Amino acid sequence: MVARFAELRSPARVALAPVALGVALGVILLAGCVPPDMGRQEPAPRTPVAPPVPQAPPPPVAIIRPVPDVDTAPPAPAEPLPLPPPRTAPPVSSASQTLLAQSRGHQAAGRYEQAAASIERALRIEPRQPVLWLELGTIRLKEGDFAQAESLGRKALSLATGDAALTAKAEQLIATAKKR
Amino acid sequence: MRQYLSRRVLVSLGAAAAIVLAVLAGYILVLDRQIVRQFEGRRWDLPAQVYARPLEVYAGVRLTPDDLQRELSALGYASARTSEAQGSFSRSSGGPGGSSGQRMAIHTRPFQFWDGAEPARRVIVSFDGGGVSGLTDLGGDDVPLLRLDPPFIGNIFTTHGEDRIVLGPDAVPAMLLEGLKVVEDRDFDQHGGVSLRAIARAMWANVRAGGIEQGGSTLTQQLVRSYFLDNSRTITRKLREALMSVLLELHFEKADILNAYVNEIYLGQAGDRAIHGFGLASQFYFGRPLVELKSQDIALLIAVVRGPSYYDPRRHPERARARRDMVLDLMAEFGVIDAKEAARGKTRDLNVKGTAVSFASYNPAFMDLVRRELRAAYKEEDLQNAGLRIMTTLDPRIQALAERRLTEGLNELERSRKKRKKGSELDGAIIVTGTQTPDVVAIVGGRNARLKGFNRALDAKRPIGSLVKPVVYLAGFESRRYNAATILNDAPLAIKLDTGKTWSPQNYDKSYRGPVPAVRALAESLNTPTVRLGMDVGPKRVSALMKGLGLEEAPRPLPSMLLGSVALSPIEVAQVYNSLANGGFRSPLKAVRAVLDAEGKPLERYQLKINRAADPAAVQELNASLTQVVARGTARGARAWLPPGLVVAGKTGTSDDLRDSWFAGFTNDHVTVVWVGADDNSPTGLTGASGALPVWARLVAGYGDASYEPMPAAGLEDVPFDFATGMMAEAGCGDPVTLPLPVGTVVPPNPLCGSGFDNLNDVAEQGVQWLRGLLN
Repeated sequence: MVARFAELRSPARVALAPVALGVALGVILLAGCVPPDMGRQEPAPRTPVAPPVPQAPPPPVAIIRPVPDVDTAPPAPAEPLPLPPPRTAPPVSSASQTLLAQSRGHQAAGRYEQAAASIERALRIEPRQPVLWLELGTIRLKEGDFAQAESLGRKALSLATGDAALTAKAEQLIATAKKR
Repeated sequence: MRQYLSRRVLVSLGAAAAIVLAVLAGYILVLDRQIVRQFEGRRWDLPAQVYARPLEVYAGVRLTPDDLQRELSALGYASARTSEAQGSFSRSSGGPGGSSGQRMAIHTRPFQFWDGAEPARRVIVSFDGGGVSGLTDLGGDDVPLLRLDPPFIGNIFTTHGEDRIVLGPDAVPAMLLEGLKVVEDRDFDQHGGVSLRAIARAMWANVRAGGIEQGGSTLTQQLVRSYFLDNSRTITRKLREALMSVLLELHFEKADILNAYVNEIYLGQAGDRAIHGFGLASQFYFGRPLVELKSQDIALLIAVVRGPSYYDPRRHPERARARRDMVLDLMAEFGVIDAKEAARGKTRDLNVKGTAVSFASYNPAFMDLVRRELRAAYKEEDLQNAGLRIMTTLDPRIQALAERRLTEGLNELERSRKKRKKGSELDGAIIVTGTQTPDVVAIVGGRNARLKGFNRALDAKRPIGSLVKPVVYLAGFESRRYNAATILNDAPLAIKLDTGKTWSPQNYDKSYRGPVPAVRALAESLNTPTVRLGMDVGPKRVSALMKGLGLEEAPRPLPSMLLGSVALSPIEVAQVYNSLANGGFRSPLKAVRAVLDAEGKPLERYQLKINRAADPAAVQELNASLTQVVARGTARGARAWLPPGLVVAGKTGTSDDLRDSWFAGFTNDHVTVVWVGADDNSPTGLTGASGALPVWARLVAGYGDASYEPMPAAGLEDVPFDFATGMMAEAGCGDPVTLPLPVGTVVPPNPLCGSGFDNLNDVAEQGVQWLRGLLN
């Protein structure tokens, strides 16, 4: 805290710290509802709400903690935030299906570069389709390009959030690629 | 005595004759060598042909009937009542209003791609309000995917500026060959290189004047003349030409000579590009391949042979038309076409398209990148001679739009600047890429996009200013010690540098806002909170992340780097922002997809490669924050130009003394980087928001892209909070913004907005706690 405070060039930074705190607090209280600048619209005046009974204790620490600690976690905010709902990745379009089938044909014949070309073509059509990234990673794995297989698996993973089946497949691809 | 004398005369005459003959023979041998080498060499002198991306048509693609028609017209497809002929389409309007219910029938051309041959197909494309709703064949069966032939965008041609599309014998219509013979050289099939009858006839025609004069030169002679680019009308030149023609005929078949002629002859001029051969001339004048030309079009090309500038159909249409009609008559007279066809052809307009300048959407800045990429694997010689086919990523629609928007934008900026004070001339650069792919779809290297020269998009290295800030915040988010709602202090600060000096960065507007959430500091491009965060995670970390996202070398990890003292080219910036749009995966930008040889055999494919460069969740959080730059921050002026409701992510950048004005950002589909500045690096008086942003926003508005949409990421959840203070947002209080934050993030309650207002002690306690947290 002292180190941070030293950044302020105020000469009274130590002696006047309590005063500064008080002033800062005042500013903060004011700033709470009145955005200070940029000509944004002023918020509509609010009506104070009666405190709920029994009153919830104030959060002990107001700084944001990215990683929650179960034991000392602050009380949940007024509305508990839902966990990301499970979702399934969007279905593969019929255009991509065609290319996927084409790619599988090439893979079966060991023509990996053509197989990859078909998938890349599909990816230009559906760049956020994890199934396609996963397929390209699988092709690279078969080819023995383990570094790319892993990267592509990670890309698929990043797009498959919430889809348990695809996530498992992507994780498996990454694990297999890493082992080699 | 007399006999003796005469014998001596005869002997010396004989000797002289022998010497002359020997010299002549030697000369002929030299000529022979020369012409044979030239003929055989030229056969292989095929500059690489460069193609833009092929348009893919499938159900769901955002493509209006107008978009598709524009692409087909650019490809030279003829608009017809039925799509009977290859390379034609017909369009039927649906109900009134919008593109809903519209249909288009297309007969595509075949094309050899890297991954296989695309056959010619007849397909019906249906549209609805959003784009293409479906494709069927003529039998009504679904066609999942249609790939059109790619637009030809130019050659990598030789330094002397000759350009051609070389055609094999079977790609040349017989009508053209017969027509050429009829008009230029009626004895071609009989003569041995020169034709005395032709010369006599030419002289007679000249005497008579009027009518269609036939030149005295055979096609062979014209070919030889073209090889040596010598048009002087001297007797020795004529003799040499005649000799060489005879020699050529001795060595080669008629068909070979005729094919060489078709590919060699000069037929027009586009700036510094000389148009050689009927293949390129067909594209140059009609925008279509030779095989699709009608008889009157072929007649026009034959007419132009005699004098590409005198009979230039663009500059002298009447003259060109008169000669075309004569050619049609001659073709009918000699039975190449029937009289009815000739009569019909004569009623048709010249049908020459566009201007010579816009030919083949000549994009020097993009071609420059293509050349640089190819140079790694190919010799310059091979690019000019081996007839390679280069498949690239260029999107002609976006390229044309970017060129126009840059020129217009700079003109407008200069108009408004002149009112204030004079400065150096503004210039600029644009680069557009995909978001999940590394495809470079457009490059503009300067305000005059057709001018070859300094390619600012690749070579102008300029300080990027605040464009660096997203990387600083990303380093913070990755460290897990910061997120988009973390409160940072916007207040003066002083940093002791290694040099012993003190650095006191200020905000651009020289005012300070106190505690602000990170997203606001980023959106409003506040310097002091950014430097605080950056110094905490460390310039080394930021520099390393910057390199990981797309630089060859890590910038020097100085504190000043946190505010963008690092100089980058627009394409380097595009690489960094491409990695952000790509969710933290770096994929080296590329303009070349594949290379095929002259026969269409695949040679090389440039693989899609990716590497994880940053934590994908942190990148999602950052990108969501970057949408606030346009929604609420320094770039909110862009809203005036962007379609309502279009969400984009991006960042303004301004260098010291307003020398460089940047904007880099992305939609769901494209990353676009715009730089505006002066070549002499003088101050422009423009910030990122006043210079590059208007160009960027007007360009992006024309894409028709989908909104940037953050992907759900593991470990993030949407949390609403007040944009101004970072405190809890509640209805009617503050300016709530919802961003994906690390799961478990708790934003502090707003003492004035929620519970606790009535308990002043609690308010004070909360405030103190909050402030303590802030300063920790």
